[in-house]
Amino acid sequence: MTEDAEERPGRQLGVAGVLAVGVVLLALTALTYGLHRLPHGAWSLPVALLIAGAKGLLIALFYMHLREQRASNGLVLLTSVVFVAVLLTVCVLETRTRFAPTVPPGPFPVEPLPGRLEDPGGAKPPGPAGPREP
Amino acid sequence: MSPPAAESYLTDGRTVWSWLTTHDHKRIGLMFLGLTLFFFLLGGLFALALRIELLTPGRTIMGHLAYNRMFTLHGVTMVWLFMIPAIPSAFGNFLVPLMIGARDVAFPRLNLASVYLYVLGASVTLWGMLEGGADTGWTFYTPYSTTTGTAVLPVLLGVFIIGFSTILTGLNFIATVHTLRAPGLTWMKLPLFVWAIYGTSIIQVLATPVLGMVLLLVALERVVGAGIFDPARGGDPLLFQHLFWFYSHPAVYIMVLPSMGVISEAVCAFSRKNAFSYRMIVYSTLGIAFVGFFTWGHHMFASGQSTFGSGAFGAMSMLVAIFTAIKIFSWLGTLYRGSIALESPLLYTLGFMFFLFFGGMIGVAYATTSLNLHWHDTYSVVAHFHFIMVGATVMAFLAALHYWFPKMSGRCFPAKLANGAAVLIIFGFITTFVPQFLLGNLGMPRRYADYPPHFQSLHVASTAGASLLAFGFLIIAGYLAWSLKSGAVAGDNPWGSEGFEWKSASPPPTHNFSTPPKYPTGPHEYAREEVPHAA
Amino acid sequence: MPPEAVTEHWGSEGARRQAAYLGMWVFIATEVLLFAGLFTAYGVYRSVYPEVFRAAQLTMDVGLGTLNTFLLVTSSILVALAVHAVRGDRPGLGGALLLAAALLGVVFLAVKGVEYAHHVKEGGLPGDAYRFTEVPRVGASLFFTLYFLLTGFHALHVTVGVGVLTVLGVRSAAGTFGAGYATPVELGGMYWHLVDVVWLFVYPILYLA
Repeated sequence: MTEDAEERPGRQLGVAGVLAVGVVLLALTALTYGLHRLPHGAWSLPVALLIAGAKGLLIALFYMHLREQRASNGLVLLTSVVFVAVLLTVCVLETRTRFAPTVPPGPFPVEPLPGRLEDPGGAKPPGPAGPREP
Repeated sequence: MSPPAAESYLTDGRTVWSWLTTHDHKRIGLMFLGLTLFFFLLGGLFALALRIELLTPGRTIMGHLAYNRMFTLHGVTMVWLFMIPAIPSAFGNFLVPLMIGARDVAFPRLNLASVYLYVLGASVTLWGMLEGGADTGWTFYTPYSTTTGTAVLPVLLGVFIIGFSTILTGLNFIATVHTLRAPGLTWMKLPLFVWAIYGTSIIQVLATPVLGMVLLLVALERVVGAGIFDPARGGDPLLFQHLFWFYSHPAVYIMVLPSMGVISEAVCAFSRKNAFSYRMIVYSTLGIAFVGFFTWGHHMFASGQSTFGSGAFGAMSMLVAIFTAIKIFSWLGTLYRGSIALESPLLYTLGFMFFLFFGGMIGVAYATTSLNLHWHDTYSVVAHFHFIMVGATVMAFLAALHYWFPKMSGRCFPAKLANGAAVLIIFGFITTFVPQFLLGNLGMPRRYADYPPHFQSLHVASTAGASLLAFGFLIIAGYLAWSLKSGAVAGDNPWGSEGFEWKSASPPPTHNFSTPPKYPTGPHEYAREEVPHAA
Repeated sequence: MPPEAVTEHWGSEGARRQAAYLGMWVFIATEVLLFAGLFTAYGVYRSVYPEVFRAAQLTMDVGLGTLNTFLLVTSSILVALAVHAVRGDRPGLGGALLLAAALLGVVFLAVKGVEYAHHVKEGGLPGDAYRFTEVPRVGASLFFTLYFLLTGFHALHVTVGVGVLTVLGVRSAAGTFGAGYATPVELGGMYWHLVDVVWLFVYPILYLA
């Protein structure tokens, strides 16, 4: 019952297929760049990411041979993508729903920490909020 | 006992070099076992030092700074050097190929590399300890970890390297279970321990890289002032906690799932019955592995997380209890009207079930945000996670150590002494940690070297329990060491277990099987007529 | 690979290949989650400082970024052709294509180096070193920190990938691989495609939108 590699040579791309996928990839790259020249809005990031996702899917399916392989290999990739989405979405949602901001400019002064006093060489004092003047 | 058909893995090559360059999963598992036991001893000594300091209010044996370093070292050693590799890397390596009828794991050289990465990471961590150790707690919370003057860097680096070791182990097990099962061994016949290790490997592979990245970010913040988590530059310390717990909460299941696997095997073997509900145990294993990724925010209820986040994480955390309860009921159902053999592994199993149930139920209370605020950062939380980490994982580790000791060494240990030690350990555990629940509920905060005098009686009780535990571990170390040389020869299957790993000789020959084993209809084959629950 | 040892360990040639593919996919999953931490940090800080991030983004050199994207996509096509050639028992052609892809990777790194030099001159540096006067607001240093982390980690992966492709290319040209033994080329190719796909996501969030 061990898993063997699935032999589906019919699903391997020929040179023409590889090149066709390549042309689509290049065209999608050009499309992202072209859209960037248009005025930006709330939709520009989702659209750009969607195009990137489409390119990634093409590469995974055809160039990384997922189409010829067992479904379990695709499941590995799918799982990793799902968990990236979970981590990203939950963290962003949580940050956006806080009552009181915990990130500056917040309602609190930035103070040096007591641990730093023991060994002044061990760490740098936090500077004033924001980048320093040159 | 029939003479072994082939040279045992222990005697096939006797030089140190043959061990250092071995690709044999059994030797690698044994090396992991030795290494993790060493760090268990080290972490236990740190714990004893903590308990002695807390024996009296005020200074007993160390000051506040030393205490901070000591509890950090205890946490780092126990979590990363002992518990995470203990069952998967040691017992998983030894048993998974045997249980699935393979000659070895899928990538033996990667397996050896994971030993060396572990040794490297552990050495770097030890070096950090000798440099004075960190005083951040094992969680390395920013901004303290990026500003304190102690030796955080080597400890971070060590943990980072150990992360790679666990990733390699997890990758290896996933590929092994997929591709090296013996003919006829389908997924739904896999031993429950293999399922548990498989679920654990998924968590290891998915979560550990995030830990690696976040540790690297803290290191960069310390070295070059990258400022990702620094509020002075607009950074958010809570983001560190998010990324850290995205790994470290599932890491709890890296420790607990393999323990559950051990218990599933031991319950079947010592009640002479097939698992009450094999499929439910399998599905709840995968369920815990999945849901475990959605609960990390319950560590952040009191740190300024949004109410929405706390509510969602709290509700998701309670789901874990459902899956755990399914397992506990399945084990109880297996024990029910079984032919019980009250050996030491079963004693630890019973301890495990009680502690997991008790600690888990309290965990449900902690997942309630309002109650959590009362208990947050008190000894109550310390007791809760020690119920899971020590009460469950260490009990399962001891169960595994006793159950598979004859498999690994070919020797028996004195059973009566072992039962006595098991009872001692369980009582020591209860005496150590139940007072801590009470302390926390009264308001004793965790991570303090000092306390007002009215807490002293409970602290003394806890320290007394810790001494009992230490004494119990000494007895175990004593008789196991004695049995290695002088124990009775065990024969191939001293417990009369139907587990697949017992189908080869004990200790197994280097290539496990001379002919690939034939697999029966189910994961265990205890006689069907002994299963009376149908009535 | 002596076939006898293979069947002893794996049971069959198909199992060996499936283990190699599956192991590689699991490795790729760990890489994806390694970058996930950085993408999450980007998402969180962008949602906290949307205007600052947009302002910082407008100072990026989109031309060089787009050039790099085309370089990586082209190299990915070359690698896919190389795998096809090796599978078709033409390891010489495959080796040449792999080396060409590695060369494109080197050009990518060179372009990245030029960009880094610009940032150093302007002061768009991470954390403590931030001196960029054009976007002097809280949060902008975070954008540049994340820029350097994302592109830096990616460049590290490109460097490793160039090494892998070079070794595979040389060995392939020497005739080590062929229709019967293409797995290393396939796995090396998968790694390079992963490096490409990561860039495909880094490119829009840092340069475009």
